[in-house]
Amino acid sequence: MSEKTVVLVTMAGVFSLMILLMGFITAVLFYYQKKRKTFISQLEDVKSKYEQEILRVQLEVQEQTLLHVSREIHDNIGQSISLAKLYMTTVPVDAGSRTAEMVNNTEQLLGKTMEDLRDLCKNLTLDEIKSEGLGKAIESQVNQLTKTESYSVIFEIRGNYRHLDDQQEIVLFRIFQESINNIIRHAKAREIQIILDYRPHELFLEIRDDGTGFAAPLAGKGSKPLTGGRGLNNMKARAELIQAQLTIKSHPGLGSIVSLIAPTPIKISHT
Amino acid sequence: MTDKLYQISLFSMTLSSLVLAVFSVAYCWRPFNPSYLRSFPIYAWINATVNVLPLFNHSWTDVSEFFYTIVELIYFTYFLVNLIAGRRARILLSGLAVVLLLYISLHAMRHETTPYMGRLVIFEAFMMCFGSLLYFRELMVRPVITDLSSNPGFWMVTGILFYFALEIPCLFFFAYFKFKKNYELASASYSVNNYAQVINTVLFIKAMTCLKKR
Repeated sequence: MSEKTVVLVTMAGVFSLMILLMGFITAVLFYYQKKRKTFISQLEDVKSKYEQEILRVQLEVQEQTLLHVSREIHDNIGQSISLAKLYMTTVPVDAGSRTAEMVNNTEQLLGKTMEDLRDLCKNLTLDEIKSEGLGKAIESQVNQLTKTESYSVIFEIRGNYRHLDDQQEIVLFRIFQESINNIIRHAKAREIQIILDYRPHELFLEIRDDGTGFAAPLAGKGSKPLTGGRGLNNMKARAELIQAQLTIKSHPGLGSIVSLIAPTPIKISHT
Repeated sequence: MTDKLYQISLFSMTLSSLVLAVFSVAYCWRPFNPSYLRSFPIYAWINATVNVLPLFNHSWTDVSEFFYTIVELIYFTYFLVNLIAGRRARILLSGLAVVLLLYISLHAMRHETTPYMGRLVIFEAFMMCFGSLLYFRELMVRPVITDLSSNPGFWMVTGILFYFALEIPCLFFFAYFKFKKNYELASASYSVNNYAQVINTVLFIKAMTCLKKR
């Protein structure tokens, strides 16, 4: 072998070895990166399931607390007001006197308080949803809103009504309540339009108002997190729990639209 | 041609070892560095000294190479043992290093002049490649996931693997040409070892600089 051949063979050998080593390192990096991606995705999955579980438990605790408060109001305060009203009827007064007028006013006031308490209990407990379904529960809320004479409310049910799982309907109803509460507290609206659309594979709920509106970020499943207050974040968290897509559109002075698309049958995430 | 190739490689290696020594002082003692990097400047400065000394007195070449072999064996073993999590692998690697050190000591005692340790260095190279591959195996198997681009251990071990994997054929060729009394080609093939050390240095610098303060 000539010197030139030996040098060439040596060089070729060394270069082959270097390429082999670089290939090996590249393969290690490639495989490791793949492993890392899988690990991160699994970690996010676990985190998301954990957060959903926390939220589910929080909601359960919240519902239980509301139920307890509602029962206490109904059984204790309600009972006391009924008794007070009964006592008022037994107060001996002269007809047409100033005292009679005051007793009559107090009776009316107690009656109104009892009615308000009954409405409050209805809002706190979800017996109506369980017995009558989401549509009726929303209708009941609409009636209460209309009674205040502060709002003109239009409620429309489209598609074939079907009763969903109780828990799913509760989550949807709480989102609806949160949205209505926001309108009452902040929107200064006159008109509220509610659409409950039972589509073949999804449920569409829209709450539209003509209030002051606000600078709202678009929010939905897989999009940017909401940067609103606690109420908006609660709505988002609840929507995620039933894998629904929540979108909030609003501009200052142009009212707001809250829409929710929930796949049916909706699955509550249990870990 | 081969002599020129060797001279260039020697110059590159010496320069890179000096750069490494400077970088090691600048980067290895940062408070957020892993503990195994703290001792790295010792190795880097010994390496630079060993490379620079023969430039002043050629007769020191064999002594410095002998000394360097022992230092790199101890340091790289310490380094790999720190990075590898498997207990058995660590014991095996440490055991091999101790055996090799004992053998080198006996070998040195039997020879009046500084011994030529070609076979021992090849054995050391195989051992280091084995240690590096153990690390890579653990990287694939262990459930701990980190960002490799900012993992000093990964770049260090890659440097060690590159250096020793290239050193094996280079030493074989060196021994072969020396046996054939073709000293020009022997030094040419040894220049590959020098270039391997330059690559090693680049990867070590990457290892030292990859970690950023959070």
